[in-house]
Amino acid sequence: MAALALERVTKAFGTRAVIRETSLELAAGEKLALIGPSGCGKSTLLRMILGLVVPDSGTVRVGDVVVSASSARAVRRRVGYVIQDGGLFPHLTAEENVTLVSRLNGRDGAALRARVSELAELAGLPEALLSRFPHALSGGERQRVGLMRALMLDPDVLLLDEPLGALDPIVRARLQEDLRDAFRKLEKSVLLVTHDMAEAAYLADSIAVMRDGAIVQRGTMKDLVDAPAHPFVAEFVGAQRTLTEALR
Amino acid sequence: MKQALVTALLVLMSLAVTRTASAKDGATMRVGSKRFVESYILAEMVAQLAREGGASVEHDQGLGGTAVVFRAIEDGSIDVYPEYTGTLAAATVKTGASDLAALRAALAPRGLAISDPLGFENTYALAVSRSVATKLGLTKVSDLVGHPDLRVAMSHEFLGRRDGWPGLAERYGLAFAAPPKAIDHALAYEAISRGESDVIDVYTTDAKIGRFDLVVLADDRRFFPPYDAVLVYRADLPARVPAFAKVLERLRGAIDATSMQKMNARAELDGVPFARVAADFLAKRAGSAGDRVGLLAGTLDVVKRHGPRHLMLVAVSLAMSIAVGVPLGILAYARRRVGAAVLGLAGVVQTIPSLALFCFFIPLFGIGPVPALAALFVYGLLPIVRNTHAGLVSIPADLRDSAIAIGLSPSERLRHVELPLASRTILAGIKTSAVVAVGSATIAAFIGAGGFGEPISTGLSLNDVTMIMEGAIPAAAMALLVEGAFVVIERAVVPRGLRESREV
Ligand SMILES: Nc1ncnc2c1ncn2[C@@H]1O[C@H](COP(=O)(O)OP(=O)(O)OP(=O)(O)O)[C@@H](O)[C@H]1O
Ligand SMILES: [Mg+2]
Repeated sequence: MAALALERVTKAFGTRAVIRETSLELAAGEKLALIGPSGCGKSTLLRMILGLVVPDSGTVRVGDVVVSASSARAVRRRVGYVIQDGGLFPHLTAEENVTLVSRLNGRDGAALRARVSELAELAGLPEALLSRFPHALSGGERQRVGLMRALMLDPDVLLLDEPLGALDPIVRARLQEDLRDAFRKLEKSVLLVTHDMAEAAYLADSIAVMRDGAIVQRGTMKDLVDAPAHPFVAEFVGAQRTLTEALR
Repeated sequence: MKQALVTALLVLMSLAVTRTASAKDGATMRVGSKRFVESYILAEMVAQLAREGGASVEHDQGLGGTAVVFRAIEDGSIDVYPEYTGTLAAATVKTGASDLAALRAALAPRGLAISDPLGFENTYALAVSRSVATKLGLTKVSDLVGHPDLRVAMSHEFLGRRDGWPGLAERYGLAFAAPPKAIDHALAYEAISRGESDVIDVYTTDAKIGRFDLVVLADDRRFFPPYDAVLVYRADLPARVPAFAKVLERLRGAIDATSMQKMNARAELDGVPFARVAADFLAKRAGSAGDRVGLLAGTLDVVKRHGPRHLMLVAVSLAMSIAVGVPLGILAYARRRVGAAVLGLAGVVQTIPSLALFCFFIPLFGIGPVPALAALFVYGLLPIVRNTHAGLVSIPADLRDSAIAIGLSPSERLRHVELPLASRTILAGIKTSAVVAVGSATIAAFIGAGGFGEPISTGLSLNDVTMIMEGAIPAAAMALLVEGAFVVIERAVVPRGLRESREV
């Protein structure tokens, strides 16, 4: 059974079609990068999975649950969501951000504490930073806390929407490594939105290229380079200059 | 402002909204007075004598004009107040009869009784400055007929009453080039002394007649009915408060016109507190003119006497505004269409002048702190509703989404994310309401609710700046204190992370 399946979903905002009949499946433990130009509908697709956007037609399934108004809350607890800059609540400390839902569910004490330590280790966040408020953390640190919060309930699926978009190259590279390690250890299904082909190739098993509300090709980096299904794919892949190319 | 109030009150009173008389509990006797010095002093005498006799007494100072005070005694809000037979005959009972027996008969069915005359008469009269009187040879009202150029300034009440200007002008055939100007009675003397008007209405026991050297014109066609000072009281009062029966005896024929004029002068011109003037008279002390308490002492006294009531008005109304305003703001946020309606309505309410709003609640709740609380409550709503809504709406979309995405229920989101994030804005709204309430509560005194507005309204009616200051200073100080208190409250209520980041 697929960990995640979108079946012929569509979405229009007003008269503007943002998602055109799109289907997408993610196997358990599979890591897929979603790339495409700005405004092509990547975030909308992710938000659909969480029930933040309701498709006009088609169905979204997480595991064996069809996402609907009544099932959305249960689904959200099985799906981790990380956005740019972490989306942390400024009035809570890093640790409170991570543990909010658990505490509201009545979890407390040593087990909770241990879980937080475990996640801090996994996300590469020094434990001393846990008592800080988000405004006192760097962008990279906030992102690590965001990842911890997404993983707190041990979800089956992890959705990351340009998680490293706002970071400088060094921090970004460090986080990419840490994310890859975490993904390996956790064996979760991951859907990662990024603009960076290298990042996509580094973090994901395969890549889906999206354009104008639809997925035009899905495959490994090699597939995309060797056999682009569409001139757009070739163009998009080619637009990502490598460092060596730039030096030439 | 005050004039608008009097007008508004009169309009409301004439609505004749029936409210079942609710006699106050028997233990306490409530004395009312109208808003002029003589009424304060006489009421103060009644209150002091009854207290001496062991009764528990409250004095609702300066409730308003005749219509308001008479309405208050009719519905049992007060038990007794000083009145004049002529006023009863024309302005309240409207029988045309003016002798005491007829008036008593007319009031008896309403459960009201009239005391024997207190001993002096305070009738209306017209007065002109001595220079004008000499120049034109004016000694009596009918002398005015040949001088249409004279400028007439009359108190609102006198202008509006059947037994006032309209009747007088008709009886004497008076007509002037310029229509009579309405002016606050306390300011009329200033107007005549500055030469801004020539003819004003006075009371025959007015202290200022001598001070401003005015000539009282004789009522040669006997237009004004007798205005004997009496007490109007609820018929069951002597039985309910035995001390009051003794008060009636003690005051029967006890005050002559000269004594009254002197008392008025002490209170009005020398600034001696009414209570003191009344006490000195009762103790047969002449008293001295120069014993006015200083502004500081007066202010402290005001704080002690009116502070608790003012604080109560602000605290209770604010608590109600918060209890209703925050949920309304949340509702406005959660339901867009309801929100537009709620915010619109609250905005409209806010445009009602505060004075009018206060008066609006009188037909519903009578006179006193209850309608004041209702008005302050309504007034305090908008800033709280609006800020609660604004604070919630301005939460960044990514935070709102994050709260949903981590699986919080709507109520958990509200409680643990949205309200904390909006807390600073909500608190700012509450602070605005609190500061506004401190100021608006001074107006509450005009409808008999007490508080710092009491010395202000009394001071206004007496044109006594010092007394106004004695009420205004503590009100301003309380507003500043409230501002300061909110610095502390913010520290307690707004989450630390928000205060430090100053982002949301
Ligand atoms: N709530 C909404 N109402 C109206 N239009 C929307 C809404 N959300 C998204 N859109 C529009 O849908 C289109 C797709 O938006 P989306 O955020 O999914 O793009 P994206 O692929 O994530 O772009 P980026 O790479 O810049 O993040 C955009 O044109 C956007 O303006
Ligand atoms: Mg996006």
